[in-house]
Order: sequence, then C-alpha cells, then structure tokens
Amino acid sequence: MSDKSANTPTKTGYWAKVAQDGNKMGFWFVLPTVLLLVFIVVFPLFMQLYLSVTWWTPLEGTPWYMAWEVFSWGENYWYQLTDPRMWGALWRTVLIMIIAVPAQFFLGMALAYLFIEKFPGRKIFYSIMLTPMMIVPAVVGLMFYLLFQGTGPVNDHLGLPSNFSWLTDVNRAMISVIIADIWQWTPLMFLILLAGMLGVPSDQLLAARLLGGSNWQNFIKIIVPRMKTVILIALVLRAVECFKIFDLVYIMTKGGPGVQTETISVFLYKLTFAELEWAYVAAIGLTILFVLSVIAAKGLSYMVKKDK
Amino acid sequence: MKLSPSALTLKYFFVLLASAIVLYPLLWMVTMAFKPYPEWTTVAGLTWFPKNPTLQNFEFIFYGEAKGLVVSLDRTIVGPLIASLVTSICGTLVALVSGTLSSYAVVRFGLAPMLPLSVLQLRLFPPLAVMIPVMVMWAFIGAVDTWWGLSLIYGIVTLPFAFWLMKTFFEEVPVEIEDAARVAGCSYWRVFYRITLPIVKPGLATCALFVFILNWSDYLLALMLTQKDWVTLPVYMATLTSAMGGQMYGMKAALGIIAAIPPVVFGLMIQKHLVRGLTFGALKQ
Amino acid sequence: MKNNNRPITNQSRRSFLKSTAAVSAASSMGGLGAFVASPAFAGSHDGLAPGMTGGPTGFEGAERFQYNNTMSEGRAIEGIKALQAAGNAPERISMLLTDGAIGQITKPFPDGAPSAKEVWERETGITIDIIGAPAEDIFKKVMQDVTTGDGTFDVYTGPWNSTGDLVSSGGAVNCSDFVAKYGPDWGDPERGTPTPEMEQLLYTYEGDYYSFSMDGDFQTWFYLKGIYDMPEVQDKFMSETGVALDVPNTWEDVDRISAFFTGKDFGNGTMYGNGNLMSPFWGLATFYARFASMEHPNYHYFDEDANPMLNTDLGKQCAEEHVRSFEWSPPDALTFTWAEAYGTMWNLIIPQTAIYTNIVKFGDGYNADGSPKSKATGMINSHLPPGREKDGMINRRSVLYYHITAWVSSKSKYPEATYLFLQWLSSTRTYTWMTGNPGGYFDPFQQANFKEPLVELTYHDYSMESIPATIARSAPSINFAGQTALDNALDEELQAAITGQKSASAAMDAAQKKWERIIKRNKRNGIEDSIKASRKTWPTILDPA
Repeated sequence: MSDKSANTPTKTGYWAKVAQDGNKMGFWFVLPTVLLLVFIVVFPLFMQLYLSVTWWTPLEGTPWYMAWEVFSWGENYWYQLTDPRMWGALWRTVLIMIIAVPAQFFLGMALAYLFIEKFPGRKIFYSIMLTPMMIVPAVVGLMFYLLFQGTGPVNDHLGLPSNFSWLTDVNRAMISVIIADIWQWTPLMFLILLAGMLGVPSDQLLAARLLGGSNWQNFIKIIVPRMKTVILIALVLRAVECFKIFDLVYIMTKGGPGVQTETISVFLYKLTFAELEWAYVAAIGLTILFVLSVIAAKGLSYMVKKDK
Repeated sequence: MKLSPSALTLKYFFVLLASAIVLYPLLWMVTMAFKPYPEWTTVAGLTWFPKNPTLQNFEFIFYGEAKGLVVSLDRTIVGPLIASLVTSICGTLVALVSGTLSSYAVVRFGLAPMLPLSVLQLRLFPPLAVMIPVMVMWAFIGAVDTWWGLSLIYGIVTLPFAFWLMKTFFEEVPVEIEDAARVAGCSYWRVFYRITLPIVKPGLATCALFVFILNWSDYLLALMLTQKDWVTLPVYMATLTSAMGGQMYGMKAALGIIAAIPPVVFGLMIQKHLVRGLTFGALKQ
Repeated sequence: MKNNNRPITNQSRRSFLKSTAAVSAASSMGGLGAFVASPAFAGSHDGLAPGMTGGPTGFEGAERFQYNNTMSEGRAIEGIKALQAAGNAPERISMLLTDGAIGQITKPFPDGAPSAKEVWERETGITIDIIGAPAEDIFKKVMQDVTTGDGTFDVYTGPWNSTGDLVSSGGAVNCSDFVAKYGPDWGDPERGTPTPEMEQLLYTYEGDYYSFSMDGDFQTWFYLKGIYDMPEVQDKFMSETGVALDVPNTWEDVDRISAFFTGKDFGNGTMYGNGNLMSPFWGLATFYARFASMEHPNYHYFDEDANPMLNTDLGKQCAEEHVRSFEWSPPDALTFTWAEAYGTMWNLIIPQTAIYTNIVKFGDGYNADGSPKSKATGMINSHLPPGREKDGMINRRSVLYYHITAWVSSKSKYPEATYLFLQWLSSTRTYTWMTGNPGGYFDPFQQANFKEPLVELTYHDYSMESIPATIARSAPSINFAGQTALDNALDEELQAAITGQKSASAAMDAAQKKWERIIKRNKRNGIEDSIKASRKTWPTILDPA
C-alpha cells in the first residue's frame, strides 16, 4: 500500500508524511494483520457462542441462526465434562505431545550439534535431514501406513511375522503415529536449533574453547544458555502444531482401532461431519479456545518477563 | 579446529544413521512409485527396487489412464497441482506481507503490544475447533471452492508463523544501524525498505519457505473449503482409489513425489539465503 | 501390460487391479470379444432395434437395453427434450459419486458398446461431470456441500442409510411429483424390485420419493466350495467336530467352521476362519446381520417404543459373539475395506464370507486371455445367510447396508433435469446394462438384473439364485435421521470391544447410552416415528431347518 511513493522522501502527500512518522507508518503496517484477525475472530466467536448453548445440528433442517428454537442452556458444556470420549481424545493428544515433542527436541538438538562445524558432506547431509518436513503430512501418513502394514516392509525387515500388526493394535497404533510424527518434525527442530546455535557469536565460541573443557561442556555451558529464546520458540511451535495433529492420524488410522488414536482434531472432525453435532463441537471448540488462551497468556507473559 | 579421527568417525556414524532413518520411508515411497501393481505388497515378496520398473503410475495420474489399466481417472493431477500452487503461493504472500509489516511495527515502534499474543493465539487453536463458523462464513461470502477463499484462509492460519518468525529476525537487527540511517536523513519507510529488509532477507526467505511448505502441506483446510474446482494435491490424493476400491499405492507414491518437488525446489532455490539465514548472527558483527 | 497377465499365483489384495485390466481389454466374459461390431448391427442405420428410440448399440443383445417412450428410460429422454425446448435444462450435470462406481458409467461395456455416459450425452447433449470420493467418506462430503456448499453438485450419492439424515437436513429434493409425472419402472412387478415394500424401502423416505437405488448391497454369503469338497478337509472336520462340513445354516455353524479353519493349512497357506467385515464402518453390517437373527422372526435394534435394545441380554450376547469371531479373522481385518476382504477369499486365505456380491464379479471366472481372475476361480459358491434355529425353523437374515444411493441435491438449479438423468440411470434397462459392467461396483438387485445373461456372466450362475433369496431375507440397517450418529456411536464401541479395550457387555452399555441421547435429541425430528415405521420393513420369512 505504501510502497508506491513513499521511498522518495522529498515528495509531499499523505504517504510521504506517513514515511516520516514512525507511528503512522506503524499503524499502516499493523493494519492488515489486525483486519485479518478481526475478520477471523469476531464472527466465529459469536457464532460458536450462540450455537454452543443450543442443540442445533444440520439435521434440524433449519438454518443455523434459527438455533434458538432448540435452546439448551449449558447442556453441551455439561455433557462435555462427562464425555469420556472427549477426555480420552484430549489425553491421547497430550500423550502424543509429551512424547513426540521432547523426542524431537533432543534428536534435533543432537543433530544440530553434529552439524555445527563443517565436515565433508555436511551440505548434502544437511539437505537430507531437512527433507522429511518438506513432505506433505498426508503423504507422510500414507508412507507410514504402507510401512506399518502387517505385510509391509517394517515387519519384513525386522523379521516380525505378518500378523504382528501395528496400526490395528491397541498400543502399537499410537506408537506408529508417534514415530511418524517424530520422523517428520525432528528436522524442523533441527533447523531452528541449528540456526540458533550458529547465531551464537563465534568469538564467544572461540573464547569458550580457549577456556578449555570438552566440546560437550562448552556446548551445554556456553551455547545452550545463549539460545534460550530459540529453544523456547522451537518448543512452542512444535507443541502447538502437535496439539492439532490431524493429517497423520487420520490417514494412518482414522483414529482407530476403536478410538485408540483419536486425537482432539480427529474427534472434532468426526463430530462435525459424521455425527453432525455442530452445537456440541461449538461448545468444545470454545472451551479449547478459552483454555489455550489462558495458557498462552500465562506463557507469553512468562516469556516477556524472561526476556527482560 | 580439527576433529580427531575417532571423533570424526563417530560423527559420521551418527550422521549416516540419521540419514538412513530419514531415507528409509522416503526411498520406499520413491521406489513404490516406479513399481507396477503386483509389487506393491509383501504377497509377491518385497524388494527395495522395482523388478519391472514402470512409469505407468505417473502416466496414469497425468493422463487419467495408462496402458494396461482398466481404471481411469476423470480428473487428473493437473487441476489439483495448479490449485495447490496458486493457493499456496497466494497464501504465503498474504501471510508474509502482513506478518512482516506488522512484526516490524511491533518490534520497532512498540505498537499494538497485544498483537503478538493475539496472533499467537490464532496459531494455537486446532482449526477444527473453529472450523464450523469459518465454513459458514466462507459459504456466505462465496469463497468456498475458490482460489482466493483458500488463499485467504492459508494466509490467515500461517500469519502467526510469519509474524513470529519475522519478529525474532527483526529483534536481532541492531537498532543502531537504523538509527544511523535515520540520522543520515532516511525516512522510516526508507530505513525499513532499504536497510532493515535487506538485512533480514535470509530470514524472510526462510520464513517464506516455512509458510509455503505449511500451505502446500495443508490437507484439512482444503478438505473443508474446496469441493471440486480447487481441490489441492493432498485432498486429491485421498480420493485416489481404484474403481475396485483398493488404494492405488503406486499412484499415490507418484503423487507424493510430485507433491514433494515444489517445496524441495523452493528450498534449493533459496539455499544460499537459507545458509545466510542460518549464519544470521554473524552478520551482526 | 495387458498381455502380460501371467497366471496369478499371488493375487494380492491390491493386485486385483491387474485382473480388471484384462477385463476391460475384452469384456469380462472371455469369449465375448468375438461379438465385437457384429455385422448384424452394421446394417441398421443407428444400431437401434425397430421401434426403439434410444439406448446402447453396437453389441449383441443391445436391443435388450434399448427403449422408446413407453419405457422408463425413454420417458426420461423425452422429458429432457421437453425441458430443453422450454429452455429449462442445463448443459452439464455434476455428480458426486463413490469413486469405485465411476467406471460403470464411463467405461464402455461390452466390447463395441458405448459407455452409459456416452449414450446419455449422445441422446440429450447434456454433459455429465463426475467427481469421485471414497465410499466411506462420501457422505461427509455430501453434508459439507449441504451445509456450506453453493450448489457444486446436482447429484449426490452415498449410503442408502443416510437418506434420513440428508432429507431432514434439507439436502435432497422430494421427487414425488416427478415420479408421478415420468413414471420410473423401479417397482415394475416384472422387472423392478421383487416387492412393492422393497420399492418403498429403497426409493422413499417417510412416504416420499427421494432416493435412487443404484446398488445391491444385501450382504451375501460366499464360500470356497472347492475347499469344502476336499476329502482331506471333510475328514478332518468330521474328526474334529463330529459333524460333516456343509454350508452353515446357523451362526453356530458359521463359528464352528471359522474355528476349524483358523490356523489350518490345506495346501494354500495358513487359513483364517472367515472374511466377514470387522473394520470400522464396514464391520457394522456383520454385526447388524447377527443382531437381526437373535430372535424369531427378527431381533430389532429398537423395541416398539423406540428404545434401543443394544444392552439387552440378547444384544450383549450378540456383541460377545461378534467380538469373539474376530479371533478367526485375518490379523489386518480391522483395516480392511471390502476390497481387501475380497482379496482374502481370492487368495484362499479364508473359506467363507458374508460380503458384497461383486466379490465374484472381480474374482471368479477368467480373463480375456484365459487366465483365471484369482486363485479362487472356479471354487467359489454361494449359500443363504445363516440364522438361528427355533422350533424347527431358521430365521436366515442378511442386512442391507451401504447400498449406493443417489439423491437430487436441493441446491441444484435444475432439479427436474437432474431427476430425469437419475431416472434414466436407475431404470431397469440402463441399470441392468450397467450392473453387467465390471468397471465398477454397482451390484444387481432388480428382477430384470437377474434375468440378464450379461449379468449372469459377470456374477455367475450361483449368484443368480442366492442373491434374490438373500434380498428377500435382508433386514434394513439404520436408515432414519440421526443414522450417522447412531452408527458411529455403535461402531466406536464395537471397535473398542474388538480391540480389547473394554468388554463387549460394557461396550453395549456405553453404546446404549449414546443411542438414548441421540434419540432424545432427535425427538423433535420425529425419530421415534421413523424407528417404528422402519420395523414394518423387516422380512418375516422363516425357513424350515
């Protein structure tokens, strides 16, 4: 918007003035983001709120704004508290998160450590390391679906019998999903963490080396503390993405066997399009929204405090 | 600083191990794409490399039929490929432009202190928790199954990523450089456009790569906001089943390879910038 | 590739694609290739038999599928012409179709013939635009279009069971007026459904016409006669169980046979007991069939006051039997769709299965080059569904589940033209012609289908009797508003029980609770009346033991 005339300060006119005034320019800079936010937040919030206190489903045959006809107070909220399926889905989501994210972090850290210094072939290996995260998750889901078939290569190569099922086994289904997630997203950790490590000024590294001590000690003492922000961002990004996990699970197991790999997203997807419980989905959605907002607010204020 | 030979060996051991783990599923998919259908499962005995390599799978997804296959496709990969490209790129532009501008304003001018939190929240939620109203809204403005409708939602859901990533990059740009430019008589816009932006260019590239990959990889949003004209590759892949209902693994693998190409090419294109992005801290000196 | 069809010694569950490759190459019937473009038809200027105005041409027997305006198809074409004259017809009709059925409409059959799509487009000039979706997900897509779409599709297809959901969400057009105006032959006593009740069940919802039946998903029992007849198998069965091995009459027989075969090897590798569908979504059919026969003449899913009966003693017993039967299923059975389940029989891994009838269409018989379509070629036969014995009678029950059905989208801008297309497609001549086509999975169910030599060649003689007999003994699965929610709730609990997360009894208690809640919520939409009405559509046939 402002790039037409603003780069020549001698010109007059509104945009030239904007270019000279930090606050005004800041306003224009912030505007698109704010508009997008308002657009995506305001209406959905009200609609969710409205639907969540009714029984409405598309099966009613009335438009959604007529949902007041089946007003039900807080029934959905109450039901959600007592719905074992919802709690189960939540627990499984958290389970994936608390296993996969730390695993990705440590693997990514270790890998990044290997890659700090130059070695022959580093570039090629670096590219190889990054590929998994460039593959479409839906395709990754398909790949691991193939790998984990009873008659697939994993059993073949590990010498397991073909009735050693992965995706249909109560416990192994979850393990398969977690393995796939770790495989795909460790590279993201690796990339961010390596960037962070290389961001540590090399004179500090040099200084650390001169002080003696092993590489590993230097790593822990000098480098890690200096990349705290990077680590935090990497962890937060992954945790957030992991909480939403859908594609991998849906393509590998569709949430099965039973509901054994049903995560919050898969659960909501099924509720929306199969059970058609839109009002209930709205209630759960709002609850998630609320809880995550609180967590985010706490987390962010913590981060801000740390930064200062 | 030279590593001792034993340390170097150890390093190679781990790097090779990691590469093997990374490549195992990938290689399986790649070879699968060149296998004719009898070789898709263990029943015929699994081999790493196709016994009778064929391009049939690729032929099939591009032309809708292949010699020797009774099944045919009414919709080939071409439409979804274009749809994926258009929507991912437009979505990336939306996210990148608004994310870069606003994060700069937040970092430099201290404006909208609540914005980072609000933006982050956007990224926090599972899209499915808010998808019903979004679908209703998109239907209302006629954005369902259009390129701009999908681009818009892509731009919005990846905006937080662009915003936060750019924010960290801007924070690392020394204010002194900008101040010096200001003293030299540059306008704020000129400082941003001529000084800061070039400095964060590697970051911008990295950010674009991430955002593009995220958009390109999306399955869920396209699943819900497209019907037929702008169906993207992952959604298309899921509908690729044979006339007899079996999953067309070879074709899906071929499709998977094609889906993987643009992000990889994108990555290679900006590799120099990527490296610069990764050595960004050194630039500060 | 197509001439490369070595005898299939290792027909895998995916590789049946291969056999169908040959199928298309020269029709499914081996020798029929000889009939291509027979000179008899070359003489006629448009290939139509005298008095006929439309229909497929170019192969022997084409006249059986041709029509004029005294027939359902002809009236549909005539109707389209009238609409076009009035400027009330579209240039394209878009159809959301289960992807495995697309070939039946778009593939020429038999050799020398056009495809159904070509015939329609030739006669009306209206292009059919088909968009595929996987069978188990298609209704999600339909509901997505109903709730937030903008008329992308004129025709929806999906499971027959979901008609109620679609109608009560306002997604389907009530076609009763069109039916009165154009007179489709669905209920024709000679050619259509076997009984008027069946027409009601398949084509109407709450007394009005909404659905167009395009499938024959009455789960039918197939077994490997070739294996049952082996003396070695007979002897071993006799010595182990004390009775002779024969086709099962009751579920106890089924379980006994399943237990016997599991883990045995009769020269074709280790076998499992049965190939009945157990996976999410598809496995419900197996459960419902067992459930329906728990009591004479039927054990309904709901009692007369529309209360679910899942957690009754019989309901729990049924669930326990169902869960136990998983011991005799192939290990990957929980990921099988019917397509993979077919493969288990074709590879002689299981001796018996209750499944969709096109298992024999794709897996029994010979390819054009004379190679067998699967290892099971020539070994498959069919029998009546099992039931339970009481007072010398057996209530043999199968179940109607899935059954691809089309609806006119209420968002279609040309509902009448769309209706006419569907009438044309689902009338007995076009439909019979299409079911013979091995390019897709529309199965026969109309009387005319079973009298058609082309269908018999595809589905084999044994099916021509057992399928109609099975249809007569089939209970409907759930088909009223709330169905998707009800089925999903039950499905999840059953899967939980099968995978050992809870006992069958606890699963039924939980499912009962969920069902009660769903019914309570749908009361306003008259779910109770629908449940009561649906009880009347159940069969009452009892066979002597």
